[in-house]
Amino acid sequence: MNEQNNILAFNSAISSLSSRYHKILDMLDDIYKKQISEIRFRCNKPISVTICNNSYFLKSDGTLTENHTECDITTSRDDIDDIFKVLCDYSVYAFQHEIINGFITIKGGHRAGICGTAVIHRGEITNIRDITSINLRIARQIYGASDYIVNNLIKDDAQSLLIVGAPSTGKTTIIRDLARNLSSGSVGRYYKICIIDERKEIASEYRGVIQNDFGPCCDVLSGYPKAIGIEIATRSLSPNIIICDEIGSDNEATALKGSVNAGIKIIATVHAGSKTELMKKTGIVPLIKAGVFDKIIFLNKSDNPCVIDKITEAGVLFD
Amino acid sequence: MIKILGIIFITIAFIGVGFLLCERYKKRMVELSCYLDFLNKIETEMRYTNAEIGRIIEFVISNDDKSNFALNMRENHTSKNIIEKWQEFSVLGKNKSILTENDKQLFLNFSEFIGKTDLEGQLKSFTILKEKVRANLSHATDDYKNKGNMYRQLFMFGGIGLSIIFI
Repeated sequence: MNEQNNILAFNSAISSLSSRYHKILDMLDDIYKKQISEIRFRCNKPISVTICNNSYFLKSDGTLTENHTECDITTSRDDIDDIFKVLCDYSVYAFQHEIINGFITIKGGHRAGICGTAVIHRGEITNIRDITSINLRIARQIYGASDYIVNNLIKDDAQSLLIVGAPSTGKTTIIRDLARNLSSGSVGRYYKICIIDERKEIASEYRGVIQNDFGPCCDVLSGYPKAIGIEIATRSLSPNIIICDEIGSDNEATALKGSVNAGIKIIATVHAGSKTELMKKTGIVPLIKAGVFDKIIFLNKSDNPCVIDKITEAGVLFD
Repeated sequence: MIKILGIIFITIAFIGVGFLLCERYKKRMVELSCYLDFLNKIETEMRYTNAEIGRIIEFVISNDDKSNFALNMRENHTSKNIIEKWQEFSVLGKNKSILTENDKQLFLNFSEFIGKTDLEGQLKSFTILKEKVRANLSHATDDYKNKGNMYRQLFMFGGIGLSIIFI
């Protein structure tokens, strides 16, 4: 089932590309389609795809090669502009906030990272022009990715969890599956879940429809800044658990503390490759010290996503 | 008897041609008025919802039963995206439409700026385009009032005059 879902996710991601690249990528064998996690377009360079953290290059006949000199297609400057326009659904204004943060979330929850030249006005980035590369990350819902956590940490009672991992270790995939598991009553009760989905990456809301499976008891605040979303959820939605991705700012920390003090459990993720890196996060360490999280889950940077390295009590992190 | 019927027929035919010519001016006026209305709705939706342009246009034209271009857009599904669809409509509509070349250029202008800048830029472009459409609408209204009436009366009196000559 997961393999079929992976292929569907790949097909959904490439459907947002211009027709030329859609045709070439669609020719790829299903074996690759289900494994590809990223598609990278760079100006005047071959198209590369990432499979298990290794880069491969796309040929015009829809095959992959390990050697970039064997590639017969490159992405031109105009192609990059076309891809960008199509990804934006011909509506740059609608994605302006996301663009200045360096990404666009497209239909299906896939995220396109954007590299270009920053336009600065009064010290703030107001736009990105002359786009030089686009990295399309394929969002996947892996059923069962959180089963170990649910069966071992949440079976008896909900806990606040901080999931720590380097990029592409499966943090978002795990919290997506946690939301589904807990909202579907798979632990013996239906938890009221509220997802704060600032970048529309967790729930993949598109035109008012949540595109991932989150069970019957899940509410999604889509596009809300995390700090505001957490406050609104706490005040008006009375959730058992709030789930959010990539926390770190002071505002978010304050909002999270407020929710925990209101008796709500938190499941959040943070970018860090190890305990040492985590301890350097000035926005996170005070939260852990304040007892916002019960357990810290470290993910392994391996070829496969969603592999747990270790689980520690939040309190013992400072011993 | 045949002579009288012929005279009546000529008179009615002339009056009909006059009304048809007058109607062309009226249709142009109505079409431009609908376009202005359409631009206002798109601008409002864009400001209020910040949704993607395809979604906004689909919503606006689905609720528009008056204008030709809305009807044309709903029926024209040959192109993939809404901007291509709009451009195709603007080009294909040239032979059939009652709009002038300048009016058609205003329709094309919409696809030239839409979706390409931030919200502030979009709203400014809307203001400029609406000004141009208003100017054309004003000309179209004057044409309808002056030339439309003139053609109608000219052909009516022409028909009557011709009948009198035949008699």
